[in-house]
Amino acid sequence: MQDQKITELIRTDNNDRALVVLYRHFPMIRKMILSNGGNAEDAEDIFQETLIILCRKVKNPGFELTARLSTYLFSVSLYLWKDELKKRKHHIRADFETGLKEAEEKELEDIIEKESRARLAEKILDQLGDRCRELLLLFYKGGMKLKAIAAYMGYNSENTAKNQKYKCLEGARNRLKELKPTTQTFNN
Amino acid sequence: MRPELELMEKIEQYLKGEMTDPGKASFESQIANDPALAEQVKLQADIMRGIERNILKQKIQIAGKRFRWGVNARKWGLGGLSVAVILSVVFFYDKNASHHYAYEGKSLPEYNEQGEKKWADADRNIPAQIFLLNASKDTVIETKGGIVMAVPAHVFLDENGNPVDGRIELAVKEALDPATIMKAGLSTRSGNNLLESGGMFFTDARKDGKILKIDPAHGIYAEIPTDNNRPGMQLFNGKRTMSGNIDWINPKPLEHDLVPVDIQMLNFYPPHYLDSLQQWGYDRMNKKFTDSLYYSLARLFANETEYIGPASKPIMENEKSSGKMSKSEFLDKLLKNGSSQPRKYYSTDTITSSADSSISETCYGINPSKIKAIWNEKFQNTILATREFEERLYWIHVYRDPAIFDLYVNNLDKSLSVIDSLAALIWHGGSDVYKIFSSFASRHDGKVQNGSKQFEMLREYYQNKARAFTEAIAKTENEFWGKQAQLDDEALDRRTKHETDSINRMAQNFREELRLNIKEAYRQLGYDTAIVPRPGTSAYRAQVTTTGWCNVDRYVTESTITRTSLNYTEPGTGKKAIINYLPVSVQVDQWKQYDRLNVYLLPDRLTSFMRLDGIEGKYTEKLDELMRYKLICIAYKDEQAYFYSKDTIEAKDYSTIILTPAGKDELNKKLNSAGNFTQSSFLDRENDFALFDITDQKRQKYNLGLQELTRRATELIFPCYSRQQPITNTEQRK
Repeated sequence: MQDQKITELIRTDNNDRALVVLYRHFPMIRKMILSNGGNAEDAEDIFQETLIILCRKVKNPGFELTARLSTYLFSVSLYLWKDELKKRKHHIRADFETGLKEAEEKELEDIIEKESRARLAEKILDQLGDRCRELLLLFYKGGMKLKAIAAYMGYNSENTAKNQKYKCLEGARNRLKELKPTTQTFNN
Repeated sequence: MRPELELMEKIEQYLKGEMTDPGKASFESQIANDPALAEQVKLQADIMRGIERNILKQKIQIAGKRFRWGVNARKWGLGGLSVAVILSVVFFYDKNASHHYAYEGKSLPEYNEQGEKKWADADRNIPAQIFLLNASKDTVIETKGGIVMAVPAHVFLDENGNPVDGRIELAVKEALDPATIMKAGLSTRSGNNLLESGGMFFTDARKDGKILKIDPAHGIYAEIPTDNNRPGMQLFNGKRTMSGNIDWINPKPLEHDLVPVDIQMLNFYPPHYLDSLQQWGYDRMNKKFTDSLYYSLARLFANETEYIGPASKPIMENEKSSGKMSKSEFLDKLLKNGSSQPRKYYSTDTITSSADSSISETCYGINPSKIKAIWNEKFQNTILATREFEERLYWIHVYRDPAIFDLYVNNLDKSLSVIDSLAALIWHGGSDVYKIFSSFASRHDGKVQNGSKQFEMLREYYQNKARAFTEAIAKTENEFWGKQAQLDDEALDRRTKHETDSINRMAQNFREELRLNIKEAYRQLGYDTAIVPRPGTSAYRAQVTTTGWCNVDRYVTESTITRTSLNYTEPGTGKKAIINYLPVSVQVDQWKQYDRLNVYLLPDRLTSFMRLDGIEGKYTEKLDELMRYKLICIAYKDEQAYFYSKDTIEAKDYSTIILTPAGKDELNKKLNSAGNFTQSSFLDRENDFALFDITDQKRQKYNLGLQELTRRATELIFPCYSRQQPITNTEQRK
């Protein structure tokens, strides 16, 4: 599949198929990480994170594909891995080229920071309990109206659902406020 | 509405980009002035990102699973399916009866099976054969004369109509040949009509001497041996007359013959296989294709020899001489080999998925090799080459029971309905399978008239071929995918190397260009150009904290990174350093027709080439005015190369670049003379990779298509196998 078609699929929220195709690049990245001090698990974590970053980037309004996707995935994975090695304070030397320009690296740093907070939020969502999680998923990602959610989840009224949603969010926000991202990105 | 709810909605609107411009601006200024609100917005944004992330992560994990499925698909020999099927039929023939039975030899009980004291001459003249059965179990018996009866559990009812349990006696008297019939004084009359008899038999069941009745809803299935199967035979009930004769009444039709059809015209595939293929966009009429796909799934059974072996032997051995014991020996053997308990009942919806050794108990399926072994010319003109068998096979596929399948193939000499009854007996009375195969049995489907008689040969053929096909298919598949895995590895090496090369090339280009630019800037500013600092490998991240020369360096570095013109005025002296970057664009004509299109610039002052990024055939770059650039375009359509080159390009828009076809040698020659020596050799390598990549992509695309198709077919036909797909060692996750 052509790179442009893949990005188009991601842009239009049809990323399932795109991700399957993109996964073909995984062996290359695994190889790179294995030969730079990582294990299979690191490789998969890094690659999955790279895919998340790609999806996020593509969804940005100003996104334009300037390099091949394979190169992009490779570079971002290299960068993430380099970053991870630094965070782990490994003695493994991370002196490989990532092929990214400074501005791109800056942008990545920003995304990584945002993602690490999103990861925390994700964890908190898991701890909120199934009802809350389902409600929020339906609302934010399923695009369901509160009225429909109320009917679907068996709340008395739209208002109850709204209050419930508020409570869930409030709980999530409070917990998120208390937590600080850990430096190490993976394996925590 | 509560104010906090209102605020939350506002934040959501803002984050979702649903706010209109004036509202948005005012909200943004609110945020800027209210740190608490800013934090709220930030937290809310994090949570929304977290939700998106959660969903994205799930999709990625599914994609990963699909990917691993593809990898696993090449590593056959997972501990997949295994099943040992024992046909558990209990059989007792009490040879040395030590008890006192209602019937013994020619002696009769006081009351007959109707509870009357009326006996016919035949009752007295024919000795009884006594079978002791466990009424709670399914049982198959065979009489001395060769009548086979399939007796379902709980088919006998007591005087109150309740099914009985425990030990019962079944007495059978038979007169199968004319001599016995006449000696016994049996008539062949039905009223005033003379009948042609295919044999007569009598049954009576007792428990502790009490008369039992057969549950009419189920009945006992009996098969009476005959040398010549005549059409129109019917089953009559015997009624004892006052004169000691038997009158034959209430005729019922016997099983009917089967009409064989061309076996190739039948559909032996699992249900929905062809429909699904059509739905997936494949040609369901191409039997060569549909066969090869279906049979290729036999590799799933490659490690399971016991699965393919003779799971159930023929019901009866051809040992008529030792008659009464032959089957019991056989069944003894079966029982010794397996559990004497009735078979565990299962249904498709209880198939569980787990990665441990219990797989073997729960994952069933019909090995496609078994179908291949019977779906051929050899089995023309047998009970298998009939619409009736096709119908049964449908249900065998549905219930994925290889034991039932083997039952049919191993008993080609039997009537379909006999096998139906036995198939029903494998399962317990209440099960759907029991009901389906019982209802088949009640259709009285018989045999193929004048059908193939090479039963032994066919049975052997089936057993050998099913195994041989599985092995051959597994071998072919393994070889193919083994080779593909090797090619994948090689391709992976080349791709990784190519990506690394590209990255290094870009880094080197950058360093060289930066050095050139700095040198020129120094020259313009009147510095000593002999001491140009050499940019290190981490040039992208140069930290500049001092002024002076380093200041120039910083501007030059920035200008080189961003490829924008440098216009620097030295603070003290007012001297200027100007290096221009000028835009160029190249529009390739007919870009759509190429599978692959690469546009390169060869700068005369750099060791390597630059590959341009482009979209819809338009490639753009900014040229460093210090260098002269040569333009090279290489495109491929399949393996045909197309080429264009222009020696010195200017900073302008080239609107229609037309590539011309070039042969392989021609292209090599052109690339060799394209730039300086290193550039040419780099380009050569780049082109080699492109060529390799084109063919390899094709190969991979084909393989992926094949894997995807196989995955779907496996999911359809062997869903429990798909569900059990474990993660392989190399991919093992936490």
